[in-house]
Amino acid sequence: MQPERDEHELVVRCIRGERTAQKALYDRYKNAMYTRALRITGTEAAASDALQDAFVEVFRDLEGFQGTSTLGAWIKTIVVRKALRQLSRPISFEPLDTVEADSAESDALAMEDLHRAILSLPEGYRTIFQLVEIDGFKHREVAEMLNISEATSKSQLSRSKSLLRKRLKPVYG
Amino acid sequence: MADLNKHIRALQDLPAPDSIWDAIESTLTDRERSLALIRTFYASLEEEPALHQLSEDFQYQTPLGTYDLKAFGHYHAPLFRGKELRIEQILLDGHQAVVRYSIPGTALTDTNLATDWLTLNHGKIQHIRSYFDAAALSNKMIG
Repeated sequence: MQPERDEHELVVRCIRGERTAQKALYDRYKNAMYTRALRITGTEAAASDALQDAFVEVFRDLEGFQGTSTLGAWIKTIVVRKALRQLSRPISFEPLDTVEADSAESDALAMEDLHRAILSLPEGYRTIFQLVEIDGFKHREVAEMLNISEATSKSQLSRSKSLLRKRLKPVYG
Repeated sequence: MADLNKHIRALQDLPAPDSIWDAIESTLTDRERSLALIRTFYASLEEEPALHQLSEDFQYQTPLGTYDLKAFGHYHAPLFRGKELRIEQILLDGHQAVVRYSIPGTALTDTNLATDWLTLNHGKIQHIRSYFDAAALSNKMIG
């Protein structure tokens, strides 16, 4: 069976309210979406809440999914918005010179170290890094989601990369 | 940053805790239960089952006034008895539900759209605010 057709049939069954299909759809996306929510919210509890809210909305609105994007992209947008809503206050954007780079001395960078490095970024840097570099949103879209200017989005991304580079210097030089 | 970018692309996802699905399933089940109750309530058009589902503090609000539980039966009976309400749309969000339906050929109105806003508590209807086509209904009542 073609993956697209398989997913379409899964969606149809989800709209019918079949719990096994809803679980299958959730299982297909849960880890990617949870990781995404975690990197935005910074805490497991907030990420869990965001994922729960997001998938309840996904199943509620699935019938209205127009297919103008992929299902994954549609779910991703819902998850990102729910995760951003978990942040109880406006994201603070810090100038680079207020953030000190750690003196990490690891010789080999494991993936988990990279995860940690991203999670350790200041909130504003982390969110924009996640949205642009990992999720592939355009600066225009990020600016709209966060109610900031495109210039701010671009500068924060640049600073987040600089900070990551400093923190990971032993490996990436 | 070339190597870093490569590693970013290769970042693996973390496992989502199992408890999240449990919470989602619980919410979905609650919603379906509420939806079933609302469907039953509107589809049956039988006073007794409908009234049975309503809590004691039920209040029914129309553009013409607010009616208590006792008045509900008197008010609805001549309007809806033997008539078929056609549900057009049901929107559920937590403890709020919005039901849009049409009332074909009632005693007082021609085919008309109406909207009910329901407040639910554990799947039970606690409060309903109904919005009819106020102008048409008033004209019929006054005329």
